Amino acid sequence: MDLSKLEKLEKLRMEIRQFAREELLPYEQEVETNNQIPEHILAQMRERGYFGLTIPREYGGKGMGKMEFCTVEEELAKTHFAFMDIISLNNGLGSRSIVLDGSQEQKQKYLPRLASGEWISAFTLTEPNAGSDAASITTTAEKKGDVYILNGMKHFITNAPIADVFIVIAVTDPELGPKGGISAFIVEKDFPGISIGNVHQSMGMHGSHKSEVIFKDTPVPVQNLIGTEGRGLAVALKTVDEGRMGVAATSVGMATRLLDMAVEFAQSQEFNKKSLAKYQSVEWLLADMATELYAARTMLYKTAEKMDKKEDAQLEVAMCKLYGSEMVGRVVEKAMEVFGQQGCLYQNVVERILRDARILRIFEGTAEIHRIIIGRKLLKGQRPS
Amino acid sequence: MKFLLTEEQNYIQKATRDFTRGEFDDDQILDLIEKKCFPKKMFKNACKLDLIGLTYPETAGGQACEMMDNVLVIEELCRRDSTMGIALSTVDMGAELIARYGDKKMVKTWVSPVLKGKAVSALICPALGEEKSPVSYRKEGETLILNGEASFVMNAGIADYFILVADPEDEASTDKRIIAVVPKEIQCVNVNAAWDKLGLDMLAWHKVSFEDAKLPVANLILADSKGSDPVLELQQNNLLKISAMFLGIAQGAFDLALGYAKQREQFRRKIALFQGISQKIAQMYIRLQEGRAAVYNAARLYESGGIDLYDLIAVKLSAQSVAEFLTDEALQIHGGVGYMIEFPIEHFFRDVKCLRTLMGRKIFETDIISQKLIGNIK
Repeated sequence: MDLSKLEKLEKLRMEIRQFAREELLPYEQEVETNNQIPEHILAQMRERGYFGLTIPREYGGKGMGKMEFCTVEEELAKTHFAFMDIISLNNGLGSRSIVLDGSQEQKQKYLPRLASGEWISAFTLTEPNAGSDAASITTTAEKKGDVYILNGMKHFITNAPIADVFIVIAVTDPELGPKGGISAFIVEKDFPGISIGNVHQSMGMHGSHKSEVIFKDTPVPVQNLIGTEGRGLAVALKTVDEGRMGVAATSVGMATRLLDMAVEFAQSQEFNKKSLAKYQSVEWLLADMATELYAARTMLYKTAEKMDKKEDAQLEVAMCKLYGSEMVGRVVEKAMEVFGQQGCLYQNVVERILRDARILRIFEGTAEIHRIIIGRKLLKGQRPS
Repeated sequence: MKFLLTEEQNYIQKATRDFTRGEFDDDQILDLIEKKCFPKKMFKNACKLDLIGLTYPETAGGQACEMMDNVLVIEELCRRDSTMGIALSTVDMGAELIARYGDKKMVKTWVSPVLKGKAVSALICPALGEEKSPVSYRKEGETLILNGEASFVMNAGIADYFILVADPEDEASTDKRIIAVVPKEIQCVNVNAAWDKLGLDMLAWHKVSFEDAKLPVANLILADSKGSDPVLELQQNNLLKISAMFLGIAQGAFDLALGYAKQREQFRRKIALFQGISQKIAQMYIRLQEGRAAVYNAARLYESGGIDLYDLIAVKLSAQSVAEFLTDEALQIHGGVGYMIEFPIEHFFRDVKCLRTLMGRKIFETDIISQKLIGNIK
């Protein structure tokens, strides 16, 4: 990579870091306790264009590539997960399918609103009986004249309670099923027959809202079909890499914070009148944390660079997601060893990251599904490069 | 794999299992967890069935059962629910010492109410490997003056008294480590508000501080003439009990994961039928049996007096690693729902992370084993 691009990235990293330090970090505990991002922070994020970082410039976004966006995600994930999560949908699963497959009208209507953060998006694919097996969704979209009628229930939908627009994946032809019978739609929250069901309470991810979304005879204009009918799974699959890179970048950000905290704690605390940092076992814990983190970060940016060159990187993306999410799981366990009982306290960021990081091995495709994806690609002759 | 149990042990195990199946209610448990409440009613019910104080001498109102019996009870309690099980298994931390070494009056005042479900004891002691207790004492005539601060005392808020392990204030002094009963109402003992924390939501942790608190020497728990060591006994006891808690949680996580995997369908198959998941289940089973063999063996050795502290620490660390592995894998098998608070595996996972810090840091617990194995060399 040429030097000017590196310099640009470094400048971006410093900008985000300063914003995070000055504006986000002071509110991380408040977000955790109130389970909500304060409005003044959302306003600042809108003003800085954070909701449209990856959306093309002609639609009001910043047109960032993958390396730049990963940098932003990594830096935001060092603060509170919710600050990263809130912008990830508009920049990823919530807008990507429109950017890639949307019509001119769709792009002009939705992308500027998503880029400015005026509208928040949600990606509605998962159903109670269709998690890892996304192709077995049962939400239907039946064509009647110039509308599709949506019926069904989605769950674990991030942002759903606050979303203005949903990307909905539904079955248009039950006969064809996953082989051309699934389509993607843009659904506005004001369309009739949409309701928010049970809001999920989870171990972590406070400040980020997940719930069920129920569609009952919801009419969606045919113009809101993304791409052509039957291309829904393909549309969805093209965009999942965005979410997976987001998980990898988040893992790297969280682990970086944990390492810094563990080093500082080890140097400031004593056991039996000896600094924790002077115990070899602590030194080795830190060494393992940093080594794995370095590996995950290197993979992340190498893969992002490959994506920016428009090369096929699905194999590497899957590896970044799998390794990153498991890496941060191990790093958090080691940090807990350094912190001891103090690591269990709510006021300690380690405790929060332990809860938040646990979802990274599950969502955007579980670790098990990722092993299947990677294994199959390897058996077809692919290798990471 | 079967583990040989006596007829009586089989009976105790079954009685506890019937109790947890009959009395523990998932909605009530989630409610207590959400409100962070100690399970008062269940504590009383467990006392009615004599599940608390099982190993205490009959003179103190106990059942004079063996440690193995107690391990089986704790395992069953924690198997059905980690948070409720641990809460019921830790109501009497240290009280057993009074039952063994205290005089009649001490037993009547401090032990009897616990066995009736009317009082709770809390323990203040140094972490394993820690040279000095966070609380120190000096003797002035017939009074002990206590000073210091313990950061995380479980149950301190609801406890009626503390079992306190303290070290002499003057480091040069030849006085020994003491263990005493400290009634909570004595002056100059301060219990802070509970910390918000990661797990064990039915048990609160508090900071407890002593500022020149005065305690009559009559409250000391003294060794008997046979040269016993109450502090060591306390540590051994707790290591075994906590090992049993880990074992129970691991078994409970296994039950939840197996149940879910056999019922959850994806790709038109039960997920238990995918080799990746089925082998996870086998792997969990292997670790579980390893842990059970270690814990049961240690409990039996303990009864015959043939187990050292370092071996008990090894057993606890082994059970801990088994519980960490099992809860993590069980949550993973649940996928997204495992992350939601209405599924019990969510709190099983959090509870293990807290329980493992209770006696100290793993690295310093490990040091005790290393030192014993390597000995004094130059």
